[in-house]
Amino acid sequence: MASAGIRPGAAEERTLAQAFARREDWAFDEAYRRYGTLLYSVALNVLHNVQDAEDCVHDALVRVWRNPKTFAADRGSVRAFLTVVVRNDAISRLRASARRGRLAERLGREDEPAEEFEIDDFVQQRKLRAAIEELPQEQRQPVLLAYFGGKTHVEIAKELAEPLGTVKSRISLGLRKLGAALKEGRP
Amino acid sequence: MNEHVDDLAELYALGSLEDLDRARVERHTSSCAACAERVSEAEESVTRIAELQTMHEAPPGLRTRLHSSLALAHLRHAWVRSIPAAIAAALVLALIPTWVAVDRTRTVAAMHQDEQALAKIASAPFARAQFMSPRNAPMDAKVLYGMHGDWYYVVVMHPKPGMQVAYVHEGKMEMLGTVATHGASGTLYLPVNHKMEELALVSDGAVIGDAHLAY
Ligand SMILES: [Zn+2]
Repeated sequence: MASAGIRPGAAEERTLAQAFARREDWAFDEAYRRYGTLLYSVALNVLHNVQDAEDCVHDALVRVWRNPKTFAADRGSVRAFLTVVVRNDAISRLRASARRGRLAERLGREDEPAEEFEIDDFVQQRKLRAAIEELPQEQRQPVLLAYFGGKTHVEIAKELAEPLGTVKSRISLGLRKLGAALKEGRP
Repeated sequence: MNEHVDDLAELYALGSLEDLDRARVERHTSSCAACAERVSEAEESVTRIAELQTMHEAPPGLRTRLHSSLALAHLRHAWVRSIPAAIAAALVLALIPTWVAVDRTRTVAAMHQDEQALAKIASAPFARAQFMSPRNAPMDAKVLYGMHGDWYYVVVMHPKPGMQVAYVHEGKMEMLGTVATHGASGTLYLPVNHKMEELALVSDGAVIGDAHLAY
């Protein structure tokens, strides 16, 4: 276990973003030096397998770097951009292997009880928990199912028996509120 | 997608879009500054959550592997640049502990095997036999097999680590392979072209169940 480290200054981050957008090799190296731990942790926290997490970070970063259109300098921070790219890739992998696993399970046993989804299993961090608890219930549930459950908004709408449009806007509102709450608490 | 991404920005950042919609958001934001801003705001929120979760040090081989894949030119550490890709690759292998390398081969092979097995199940008539414990209780384990005895697919729920499958014949046991675990289930695909009539599950050297197959 390691800490995420000290956040570099905004100006420094902007320089990095510009160089990253121009595909200067040193920027890749620097981004990895700064955010490698974060990116690997993001992948591991979704996949729970060290080799899968490593493959995921590797493949996602290679894809980003080889496709110059993916990141423009005014696109925001490299840190947040890469975090989401890696996380999305990890979720895709998880979904693909869940599809395989579900099929294998169905073949092996038909009366498998549905898996219970326990928030407590995932959110141990006090500050995060507090911010999540501040969300209205109608937003909290779909945001948690999206972030920790790795579910698509279509699956969430089905699960909560709510219209797709309603679920979309609740997730959207919920995330913006959560993001703001976590920002406030920042030193 | 010419339409602006709207609420999809947050869904994208949370990972709750299907691959197709995700690609459309990525495409649109590469040419629309307004949407790029909203998406990057959402990415920032998700990153704040991610940063509050447990952090794990990345394995040292990952950086080397990235460098060798991307053939980066201007490196800060000259020693990486000065060695050819083949040596760099060997270096990466040397950095990975043996058990990881072994496990990785097995995982990749197992994924491939599952796909082969599913193709067989989908395309050919098959039978199914139940594994029973020594006390004759049904286990959460089955073997699916081709009616011509040309393939076998063992599925075990909550398998013990290193659990093996053996062919039992004339009082002898022949080990066929180790069950690969994915989540709660474990599988082993055996493209053995021989009509086997009894299979056993072996854990820590002891038979913990067997299945009788009929053709
Ligand atoms: Zn737009």
